[in-house]
Amino acid sequence: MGIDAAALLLDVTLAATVVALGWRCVITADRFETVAVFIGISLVMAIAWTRLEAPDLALAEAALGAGLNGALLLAAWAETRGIEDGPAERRIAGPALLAATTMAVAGAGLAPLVGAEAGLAAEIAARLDQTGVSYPVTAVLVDFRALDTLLELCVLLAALAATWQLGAARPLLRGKLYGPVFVAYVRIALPLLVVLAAALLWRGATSPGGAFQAGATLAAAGVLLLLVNPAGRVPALSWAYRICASLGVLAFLGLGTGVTAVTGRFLDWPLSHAGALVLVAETAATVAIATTLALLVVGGRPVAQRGRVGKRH
Amino acid sequence: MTSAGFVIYATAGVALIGAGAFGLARARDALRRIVAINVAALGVLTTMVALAARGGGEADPVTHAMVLTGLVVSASATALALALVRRMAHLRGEEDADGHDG
Repeated sequence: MGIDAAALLLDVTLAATVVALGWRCVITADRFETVAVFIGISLVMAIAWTRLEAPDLALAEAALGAGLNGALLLAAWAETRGIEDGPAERRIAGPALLAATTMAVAGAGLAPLVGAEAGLAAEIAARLDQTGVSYPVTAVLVDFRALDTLLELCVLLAALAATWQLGAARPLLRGKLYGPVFVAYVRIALPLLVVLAAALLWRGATSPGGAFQAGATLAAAGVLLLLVNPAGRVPALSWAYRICASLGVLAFLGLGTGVTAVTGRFLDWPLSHAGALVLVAETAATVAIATTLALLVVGGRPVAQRGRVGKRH
Repeated sequence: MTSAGFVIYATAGVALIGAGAFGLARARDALRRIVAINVAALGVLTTMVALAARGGGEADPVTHAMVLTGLVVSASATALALALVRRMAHLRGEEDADGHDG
């Protein structure tokens, strides 16, 4: 009883904090506060998700929402400082009406689900032995809904291709934002993150983890590396980037087409080799996700940094 | 997670979706709009994570897989949007510089 009450208090506090931060984030007149509060929401959200039995999702959210997007938002804020689009934001009635309508529709849609039977956990558990893995989320991602994962890797690749069309990468940060403590921290954290990503990938077959979580962790390591780099410099565009970024799509397409010779269906892994095939596909996806996300943070085509960049203009 | 937990976090998710919609309709500034959309996206994802856990037993793996996919896709879409914002700021800066020179 005491524990239940404490858990309830914790849940209510976490939920209320997230909501208060969310509204603060969109209401404040200070653009920096908007960005800073958003990073805070992502972190509190990660804690909330661990309460909802989703520790691996929480890890991905902390790496992507707070880490990756946080770095990008801060860079975009720094670059657009002093620029305000249009007149001051005084509108209240229209946005409030939209918010109320959206919440009413979402609430009405969710209300019937209170107390309803939960999703597909039982069905997935019953068919787990038809896949090469024993962790249900990984089974869904690389087996039952492998096509979704392939298309999602395509989306990542498209986002990177579009970003590269916007011209050469410019340094993420102007000047040095960090001291010796940060550099020492990165020296310790970087190898740990790489080991953590490898562990997440390997354990994803049997327990929380997998390509997405490992990719997000590895991408966050890449961002750290970018931040200790004085001018945010990266080696010039080479085939290595292109190969790593498209490795996931290539592996899913190649292996997926290859197994049609055995099973007759695209992306339907033959049971005898499912474990190995899934591991190869997942490793390729991890490399692709990490490379693509880290390159998205670079924010343009990496060019050789000799003197000034921006030859095109 | 009991149904009380589901109600608490789903309500928070819906409130975040509302905050995102409010911010999106109110903001004129591109950076704020991107943040507002992301607040709404977090609301949707939180609602889904709460939905996945509502059974009390093992969480629904299909919903978790969708949330993971959603996280990565929204992170990449946000990165592209922010690259556009940075590019716009850069071009505007060049325009201003040209104006001063001429």
